Amino acid sequence: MAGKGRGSGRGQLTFNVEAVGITRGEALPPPTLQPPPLFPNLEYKPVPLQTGEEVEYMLALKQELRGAMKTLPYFIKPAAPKKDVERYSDKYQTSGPVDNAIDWQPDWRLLPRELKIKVRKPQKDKSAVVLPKHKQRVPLDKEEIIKKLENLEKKEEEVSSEEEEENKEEEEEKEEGEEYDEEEHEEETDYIMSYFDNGEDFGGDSDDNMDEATY
Amino acid sequence: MSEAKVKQEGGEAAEIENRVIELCQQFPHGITDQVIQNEMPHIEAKQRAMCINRLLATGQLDLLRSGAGLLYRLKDPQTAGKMKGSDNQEKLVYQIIEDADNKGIWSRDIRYKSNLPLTEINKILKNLESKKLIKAVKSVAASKKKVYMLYNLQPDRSVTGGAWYSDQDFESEFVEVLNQQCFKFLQTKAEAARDSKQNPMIQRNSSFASSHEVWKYICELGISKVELSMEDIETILNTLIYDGKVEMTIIAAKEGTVGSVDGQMKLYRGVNPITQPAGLVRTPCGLCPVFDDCHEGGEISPSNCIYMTDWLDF
Amino acid sequence: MSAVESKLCSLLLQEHYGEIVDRVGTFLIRTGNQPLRVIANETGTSLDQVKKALCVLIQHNLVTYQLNKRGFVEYKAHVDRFLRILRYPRYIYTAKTLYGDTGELIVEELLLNGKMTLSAAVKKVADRLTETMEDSKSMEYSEVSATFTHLADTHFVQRCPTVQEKDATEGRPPLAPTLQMNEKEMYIVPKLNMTGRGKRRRSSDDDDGGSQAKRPKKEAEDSQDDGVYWQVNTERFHQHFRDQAIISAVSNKMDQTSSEIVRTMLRMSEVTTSSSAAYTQPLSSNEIFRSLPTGYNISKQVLDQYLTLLADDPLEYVGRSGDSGGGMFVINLHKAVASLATATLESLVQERFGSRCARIFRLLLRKRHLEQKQVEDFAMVPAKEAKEMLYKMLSQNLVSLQEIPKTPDHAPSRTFYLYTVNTLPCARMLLQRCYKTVANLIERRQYDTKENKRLLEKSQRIEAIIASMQATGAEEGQLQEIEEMITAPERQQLESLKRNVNKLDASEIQVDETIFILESYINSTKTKAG
Repeated sequence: MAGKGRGSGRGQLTFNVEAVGITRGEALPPPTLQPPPLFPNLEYKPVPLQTGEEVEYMLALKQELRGAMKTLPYFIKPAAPKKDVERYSDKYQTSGPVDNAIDWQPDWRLLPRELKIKVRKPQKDKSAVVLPKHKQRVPLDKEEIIKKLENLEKKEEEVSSEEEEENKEEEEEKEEGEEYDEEEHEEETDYIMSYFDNGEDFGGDSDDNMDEATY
Repeated sequence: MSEAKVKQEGGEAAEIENRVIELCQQFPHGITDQVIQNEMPHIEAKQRAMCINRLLATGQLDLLRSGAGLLYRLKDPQTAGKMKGSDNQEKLVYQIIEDADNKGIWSRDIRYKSNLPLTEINKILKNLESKKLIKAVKSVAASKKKVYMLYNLQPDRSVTGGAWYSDQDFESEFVEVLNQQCFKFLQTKAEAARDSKQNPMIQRNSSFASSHEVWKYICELGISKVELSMEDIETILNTLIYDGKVEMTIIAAKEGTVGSVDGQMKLYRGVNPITQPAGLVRTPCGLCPVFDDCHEGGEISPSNCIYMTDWLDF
Repeated sequence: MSAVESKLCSLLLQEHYGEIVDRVGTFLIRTGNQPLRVIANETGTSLDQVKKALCVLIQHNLVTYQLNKRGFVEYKAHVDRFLRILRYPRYIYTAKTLYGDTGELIVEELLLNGKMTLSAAVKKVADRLTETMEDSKSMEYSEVSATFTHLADTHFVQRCPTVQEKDATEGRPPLAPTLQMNEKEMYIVPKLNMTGRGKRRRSSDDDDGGSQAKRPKKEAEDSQDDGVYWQVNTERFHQHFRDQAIISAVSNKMDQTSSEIVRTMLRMSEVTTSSSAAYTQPLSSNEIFRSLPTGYNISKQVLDQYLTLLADDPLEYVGRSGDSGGGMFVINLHKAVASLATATLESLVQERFGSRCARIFRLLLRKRHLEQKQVEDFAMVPAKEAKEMLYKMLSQNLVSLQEIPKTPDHAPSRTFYLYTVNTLPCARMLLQRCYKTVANLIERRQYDTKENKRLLEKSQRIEAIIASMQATGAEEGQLQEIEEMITAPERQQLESLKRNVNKLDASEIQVDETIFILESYINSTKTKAG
């Protein structure tokens, strides 16, 4: 009962080829062989951002905060990159705090003891900025260190860091009269330098021997 | 003894049959078994049934199903004429198909009802079709199956797919238009309620419209070529609920209240969204199709992202 | 702690505290609790720098420490606190709306410095406010102090944990002091006798006023509340944001009055309901009536109508919990937060895939489990489209498919394939997307800025020159000459850059709003289940 289908044959084309404009022998356009686009067309665009006083104010707050925090002492800048040739003027230029001291005063009562950095004024015969730069760690005799410490303790201000933690496992560390061990060390920029320079973790060197000083 | 009875019954049978036909002529809409019984109370049920069956088989009576039970009706002489020359089996099949009215019936169900083998059924169906007494209609429910119905009947919407289908094609646009119109109606009503500044209870109640109300409005708009039922409108209103634009509540209604069904009425009203679009979708990343491939240093990265560039330049 | 979260934390640390702090902080985030020397070794940072960084991180409540079993001090990063850096502007702005400029600056100073004593904060804020005032005027300490007290009373600022007396052994500070805070004292402001007013900076001082730390001398008044530190209570702000979102939703759906009633109810519950509660304590309609803001003139009868409407609304933000006192009502906090999160999910589907898809998504949310045919029928979309949409959402994990076999042999033709939406995993996934989006926005901003570095520096130099010339009274003509050193196309480029940076910054803030809603929902669900 259903009426005859309207040209339902599968084997033949269902439209008049010539009517579509393809003449005999002409090839159909080749299939596209290009890879899909990296950024396909977006079907829908993002909804516009909210506007208004509140939005403007918070935007200003955000940008001010970001700017302000960069100037606060909590913003720790990496030390200056090492220059190939040391200039005399380097001594007087600072891209960050000259000393390794923290330049704001935390309440040390709230912090673990180990975090305190003692600050030492540069001694006359050496300056904190220009110190011999070694790539290798120099093993120092512990007793030498202790003697030096006792000397240095007498100075008013100090600039150095201590490497107490390596010895934590050893009892003596805790029993010492001094709170902090202090050792000679190089300007730490080396450390940071290497890290920045080759982009790799500098950890390689320091893994070897925990008992020794790090720089 | 039984012979006599049969003769007696035979004579009686003819009389019963005639009486039944007379009754049918009296009540053209059809008579129930009860009516026949009342008319001839002395006849045994078994006898009554036999006579009725004979009348059915010979094509003089039609069998119909109604709320009250089975109805027997005089057959239309035209179709009765057409039936001349068909055998009883054909008549039976025809009757079964006729009973299915405009909803039609699968061939499998015809077989079940008639108890005839499938090959027989198929032959009969072909025959009836060629005589243009019946036709096959594709059902939207199962595209491979066909239902059979009388030739001149308009198929019921459940067969063809209802108001939303036109020749088996889903009428998306039509549905969309109805969706919009219904929403506009409800939105306007809700706004009017808000502007009325009445006390909150009254405001809320007047913002609702029953499905019946909406249905009436749409019918009066006259945008539909097909006749739409209240149920049809309810399916449209439901899509508005899924669009997040409308909410529904059901209230109890007295039987007989206009628009109530089974003691309940569905009320709908337009609602506002509870939030603005999320912050995330205000950025290109929120909609980005290549988000997962994006990382700094890759082919697709924030620094070379074209979507960002377009968005920033806009 | 996903890679995406850790990347975002790293960017935030870098921008606000510098690379060293970033390195240390990110290391802790990725590897968990670590002692000092491991941090130094693994990150290739000198011990000194690590110490400085840790001091900064601890000061800003981002890292805490404890003694481990072997007697080492271990440091622990709190990831959620790092991510809060993104929200600082919102905290400050909220303080402004609630407590004016004074409140704003108090919160700002506390955020900039991590912890402060009351006296230090008051002085700093008084000084800053004085700068903005007319020449002869200055800000009284007592006024600032009063605002500070308000902030503490309403729990927006709180005491930091302090050292316990018993820690001091033999006069030496302990390896790692134990810090504790008594709940009862958390919001008690010490009674200080702070008389005085803010001072202006001397005009010759170039210091931008941000580094109070360079003052080595301590003033006598400091000793009054020495050791008593305060910090911002971000949880309380979050409670406020949540309340705001709820009120806003009610206002959008219903009307202003309904939202005011809800605001009143939330305000009444502020300190009596814990931040993780699923609903507030029951409030009677009588109480609510008494607590309505004084300007509000609705009758008790009308209030009752509104309460009924709120309780009956499909939103279900307000529930009934009894009949005494004219009717008892609660706010369903968890429900409200969940509905806001769901609205966020719907918003994403809508904007990314269109309204048809959103319709199907909402349909699945309501009906829970549907077969494809049912989806077609209910949503009234043609089969092909339904299939497409479902597939799109499936591939993005917005929707999932459950197989329910009808017969024991699990034959595909006799299996139900049901589509469903699981809100919680969906929210989690979207949250990760938000984190990555913010990271992308920051990276793009940094990239654009870097690309224009030279131009920016040039512009800054020129501005500095002009400023100093103006100060020494240069002529208009001379100034103009200098200004012209920036060409017109360069000027345009700068403007374009500024516009882009603003847009990127603003969008970070707006994405953080989405982060907040999703985090609230996920946390609320966790506490509910747990």
